[in-house]
Amino acid sequence: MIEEAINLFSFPFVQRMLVAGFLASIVGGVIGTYVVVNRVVVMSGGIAHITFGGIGLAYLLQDKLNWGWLDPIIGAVIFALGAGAIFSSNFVQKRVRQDSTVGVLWVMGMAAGILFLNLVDKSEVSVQEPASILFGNILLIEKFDLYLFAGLTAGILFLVLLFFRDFRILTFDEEFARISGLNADGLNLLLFSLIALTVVILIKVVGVILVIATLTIPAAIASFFTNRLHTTMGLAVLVGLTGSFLGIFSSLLFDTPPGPMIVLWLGGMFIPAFTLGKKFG
Amino acid sequence: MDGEVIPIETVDLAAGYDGNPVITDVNLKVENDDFMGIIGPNGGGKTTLLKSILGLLKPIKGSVAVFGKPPKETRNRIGYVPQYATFDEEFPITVEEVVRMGRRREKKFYEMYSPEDGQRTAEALEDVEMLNYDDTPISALSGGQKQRVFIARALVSDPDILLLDEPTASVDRKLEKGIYSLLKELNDRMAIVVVTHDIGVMSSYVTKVACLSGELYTSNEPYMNREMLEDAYQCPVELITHAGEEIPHRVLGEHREGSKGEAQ
Repeated sequence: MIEEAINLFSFPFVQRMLVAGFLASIVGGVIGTYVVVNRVVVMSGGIAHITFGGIGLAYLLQDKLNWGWLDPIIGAVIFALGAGAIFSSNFVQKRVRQDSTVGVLWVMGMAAGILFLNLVDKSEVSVQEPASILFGNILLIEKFDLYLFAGLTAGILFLVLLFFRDFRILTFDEEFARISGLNADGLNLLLFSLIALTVVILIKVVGVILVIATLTIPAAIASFFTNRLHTTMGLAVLVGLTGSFLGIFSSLLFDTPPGPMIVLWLGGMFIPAFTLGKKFG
Repeated sequence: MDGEVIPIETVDLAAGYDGNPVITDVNLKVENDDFMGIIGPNGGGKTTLLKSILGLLKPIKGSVAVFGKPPKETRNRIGYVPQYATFDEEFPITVEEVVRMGRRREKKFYEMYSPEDGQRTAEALEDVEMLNYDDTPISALSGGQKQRVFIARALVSDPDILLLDEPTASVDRKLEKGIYSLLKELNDRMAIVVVTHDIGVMSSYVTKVACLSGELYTSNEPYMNREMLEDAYQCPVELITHAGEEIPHRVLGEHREGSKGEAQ
């Protein structure tokens, strides 16, 4: 049985799966560290669920306006960036409680997505199953997606490298960032945009609902073992890579969807890490 | 330091939020060698005044000048030490990394820290006697040690004024004295302004005092009489001094450093 699973690694779709898992682990670990230390896990979950609306809208426009070029992933990117801009906006933060904003947008995205998908004429446009959008279907990853993800990953890492010092000040002490003359609003918007783009990559691998796990668990595990931001990121990437590989491999072995497998492996690692970690041990 | 220009001067300042002033008619003047204590009850506008001086809040009326200019232009001359309680205790960061943040201003976003920044960081840590802890995560420090680290972060940019918000809110009485002695030493190099609701130990170190309770009551002497305090607090002085401590006739009248032990 194990041999069969290993043999599957020569199939292109499995290789694409591994590459996607690899890229997702890298951005998930790096950006997930910001999500965890900055305590914006729930907002990131909000961004993930809002993309469902964007995906639905893209299919609807493909159908009604004949915009065949509008890949659902473009809809996801636009909605994710929009949500990131709203969450990071000072204007909104001053007027609405942060978790209320999440509550509103989270369900709006889901509701809109379901409605849009329902309105699509399925004989005109081939629509992905809602379940595979929600729980991910790594089998559906195409070459185009991989190129896009590779580009996004490179861009995200480059920006993190450039802004590493300023992001550290912002996430540690926003008031000090402002006093130091840093453009805190701009930095916040940039950070949330990076989170939004990361979410889009992760959605394709584990699906809308499981994104929070891949963004949170590796960084949370890593934070048990280190007290530096960059080592947290590095460790989180390693944890993510381990989880994706084990998840993909065992899903081939047992013939199950990989998304939930990856998440369960990560969750399984969390418990021993929590016990062994020096911080709260 | 420009000898002639006044470090901090507010003229008829009114400031607050959404157009509602929290403080009004504040005329504050901090001079070069001052070690000023601004005391006042919670809700008296201490933070509002600080934010105005830091340029985070626009005046509703009147003006704020730092070294004769709008605060935003002279930010690099103020070192600000916030209440440490507002930080995320679990943030993965070391003492050295926190202090070095103070060297960030004036730098472009892509600029790395230079060896000089490292040198100055070490000096600032030396000043607050925390050099041995440079590699320690901030989460492993005690309240008093954290406060020293944030003072170092303010010092590392070579300010001409040090502004502290409740510097001893989270430390015990013994450490409190340590922090004020440190500030006293730093006072040789810069003006110091401490904002607090806790008169306690501070009274033996400051050279000037003001009371802020919506309006500012000033005194050019290093003490303030009970009536002035009561006026500012709108409540008896007993409530703001420490339980069991004898209320000094003149709250800030004498140097009480030696008698602090029994006052606890």
